[in-house]
Amino acid sequence: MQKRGGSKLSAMLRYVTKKLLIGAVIVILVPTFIFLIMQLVPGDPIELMAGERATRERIEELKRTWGLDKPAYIQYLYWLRNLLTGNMGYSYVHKQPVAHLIEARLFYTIVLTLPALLLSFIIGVPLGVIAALKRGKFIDNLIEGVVTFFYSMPTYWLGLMLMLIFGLRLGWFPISGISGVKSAVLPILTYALPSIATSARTARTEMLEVLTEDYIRTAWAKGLPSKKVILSHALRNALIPVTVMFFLYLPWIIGGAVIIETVFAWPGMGSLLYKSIVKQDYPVVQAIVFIIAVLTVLCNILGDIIAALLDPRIRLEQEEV
Amino acid sequence: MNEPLLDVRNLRTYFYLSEGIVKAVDGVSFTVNKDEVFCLVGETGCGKSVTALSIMRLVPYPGKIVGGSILYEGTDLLKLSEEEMRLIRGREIAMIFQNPMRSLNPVFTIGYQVAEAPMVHFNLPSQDAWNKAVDLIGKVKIPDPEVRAKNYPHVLSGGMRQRSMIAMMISCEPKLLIADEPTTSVDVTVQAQLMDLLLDIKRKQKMSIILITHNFGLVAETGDRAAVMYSGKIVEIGTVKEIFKEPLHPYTQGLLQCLPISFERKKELNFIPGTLPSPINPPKGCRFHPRCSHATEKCKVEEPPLIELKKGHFVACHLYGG
Amino acid sequence: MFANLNSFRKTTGRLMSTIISLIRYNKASCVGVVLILGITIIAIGAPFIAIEHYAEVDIANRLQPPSLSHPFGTDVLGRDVFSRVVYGARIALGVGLLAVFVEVFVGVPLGIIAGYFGGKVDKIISALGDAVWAFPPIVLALGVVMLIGPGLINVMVAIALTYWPVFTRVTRAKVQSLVNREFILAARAIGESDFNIMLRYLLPNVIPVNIVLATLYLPAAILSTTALSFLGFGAQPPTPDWGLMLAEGASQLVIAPWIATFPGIFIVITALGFNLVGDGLRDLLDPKLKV
Repeated sequence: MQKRGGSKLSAMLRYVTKKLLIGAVIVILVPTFIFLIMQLVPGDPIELMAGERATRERIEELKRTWGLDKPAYIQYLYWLRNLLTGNMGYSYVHKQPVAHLIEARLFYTIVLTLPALLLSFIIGVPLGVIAALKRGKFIDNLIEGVVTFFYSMPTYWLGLMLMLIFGLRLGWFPISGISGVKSAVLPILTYALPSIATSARTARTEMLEVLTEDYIRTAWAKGLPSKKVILSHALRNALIPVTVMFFLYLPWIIGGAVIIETVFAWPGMGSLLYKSIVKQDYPVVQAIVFIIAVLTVLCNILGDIIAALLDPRIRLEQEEV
Repeated sequence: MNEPLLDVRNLRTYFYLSEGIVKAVDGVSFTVNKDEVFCLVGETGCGKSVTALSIMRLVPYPGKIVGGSILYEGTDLLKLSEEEMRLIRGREIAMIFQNPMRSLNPVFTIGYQVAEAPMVHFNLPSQDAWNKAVDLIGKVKIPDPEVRAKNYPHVLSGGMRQRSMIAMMISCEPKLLIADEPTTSVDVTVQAQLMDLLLDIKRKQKMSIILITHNFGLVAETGDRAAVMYSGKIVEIGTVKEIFKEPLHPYTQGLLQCLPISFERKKELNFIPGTLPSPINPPKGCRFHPRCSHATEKCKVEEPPLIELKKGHFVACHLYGG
Repeated sequence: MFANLNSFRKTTGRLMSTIISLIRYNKASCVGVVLILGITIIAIGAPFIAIEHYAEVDIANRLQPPSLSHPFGTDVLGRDVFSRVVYGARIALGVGLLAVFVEVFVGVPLGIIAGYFGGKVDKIISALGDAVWAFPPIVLALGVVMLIGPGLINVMVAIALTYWPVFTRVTRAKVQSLVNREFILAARAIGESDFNIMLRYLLPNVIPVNIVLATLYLPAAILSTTALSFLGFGAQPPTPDWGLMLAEGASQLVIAPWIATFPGIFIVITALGFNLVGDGLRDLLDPKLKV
């Protein structure tokens, strides 16, 4: 039986291709933009590297080594070319290829963010839906209260408090650095709790809005059992904006890694970004910002695609085009 | 003796808002017979939709049915459990709503939505339910039902959406169909077609229709009997012929006079002076008395009961010794 | 700003009735109002409430746990944590309000222009807003701070530049819903200039929604600016910024946990207060508002 109407595969492909092309254009624009910004940043890393008593010759020599003696546009072209081949430059501070640094740390950041994201969806969305279904009752107020509480909390303070209570006072978990699975618990928790709160909030709002729609009344009027009305008719509609927003806010959640990794001395990309900004290690900053930008663009495209997949109104608009 | 299909007795449905209690339906009684078109007429906000929703027990929060009884074939619907009521909805009593675009789920095909009720109520396997849906879509005069069944609601025109709703709701051959302003959001030409369709189905399936409307033209053309509502109360019930020929209640008379019938060229349009009463604080006594040219002292204090003045013709007005 | 005494009375009257409705019907917002009032009083009355000046160093008494003379203990330089928290309220509220003010000042006019003119102008403004909004705010703010240097004001500007798009988006939507209404068409018909229409007809109508939005995004501004101070890019010592205090407290977490605990509690209180009131206002004025 045709629960879903036939969506022409070609129309879908056209839509995806169009979005990917726009994404590719943006991905090219972004490093240009970042490069320009970096040029404007005050401070000269070469002078930092050379030290206070460096001679003119030493500075010139360093500039040559780092390719910073060439005019800006040549540097730009070099950078673009390097990017395409996966070469993200050389770190001033660590004296290693940036790509190496990132490779080493990428895993750790993913270890932190992935569970948090999964938890936020798996726990947050059902919580929000339950709160919406039991609107006005005790459990709704409870969920809403807890959610707003975590929503109003600075993540770094949450991290510190968790460290204090569960790390120091109770001694259950180590409070910084990497030392096995246990050391990941507190950072992941710090990451996950506010994300769960945000997901729950969104899910509740969307579910409430759907439940008051006329077509839900129609479903009740047909005499459908509540499971069908809520899970099939209501949830199916509410999940569309919830899922899309999940993808749109993914970059934000990744951005939060900067703070959490710093608090917990977790060797991921976030803490690398922070340290690099402090030490004015621009190649690293450039590279990480570029990665985040690409991720942002990808997430937005994914969000659009998911929206089209789930919502026939968007999908079919493309067919007619 | 013909037992009425539906017997509403003293129905009261209130809404509990933070500003106060809205007595949307305040002691409404009427009957609907088998195989007839019963019209519930009145201005917007008089409580006719809430009455319909009360019959279906679909009154939205913060509303509650607080009193009275609704007898369907002898059983009081208000005393049924939620599960028992669910078995009646769609199967015995069905309802079509005013705004078909918003009343159809945008993520499911028309065919699926039409097939759902028979699937649930008759336990049909999905292929059979689908075939039945296609069949029904054809019955409501949508051309190319095979193709249309696979469409989503938003690609259909207003008229087709309303027909789809009708198909959905008659799929289990209910004995009573409540139609809440089914033609208000469509063009005039489509209006006529829809009403013809409804009457056709009524004849074939021996179905009664409660038609909720503020359009007296519709009442005159399609109704057998009618009830006029004002501010949560019924002020007059009778056959359509009687009501048009000899309206008893001043409100009914006023409404009929307001119809711009252009037989006689008048200088101005008629209107009923005053405005609708506040739903939270209705006037004491007869609710219509502030706007009634025949109001007496008694009207300001005592609410007139609904009495049967002539056979089958009820009115709630002190003018007639209520 | 107010045409005459009458319109001032009317506006104040509406404000009072909104607050009263809020308090009567929404228990959670009640709590929020109390919290906001509390923090505001603390901020305004800081010199009277604090025990000593926030920069008063007293090395002999450093890292003391909470006691009668120092309700929140002392920090690594012997400064009274309670006093610093109290003065910190001024910074938090001040910076937060300033940031929101800038966001509104930038975002609302852009939203009105985008919604009113439509077409290319709308596309450009919306694309810009979407691009800025999509990017993680912390990273963006860090980028801006890298450009213009650290400091409390700079951080405030950076955060404002990160959050303005939401005001544009919401204002634009509201304007689009108004632009086809009769009173706008009438204004055009009598020959009002575009600028006048935007200023005198559209602007007043988008104010209520933006008040709700501002209330909802003030906590975000405070959380973000304190985060940047925590990282060291915002307030500099000895400013009693709550975020900075948390950074100072983090290094002393083992031996003096009170330094980090109390400022954080106050951040939560402040953010919670505005979130609760903001939610209540939204339910009251425009329940379908999606932020």
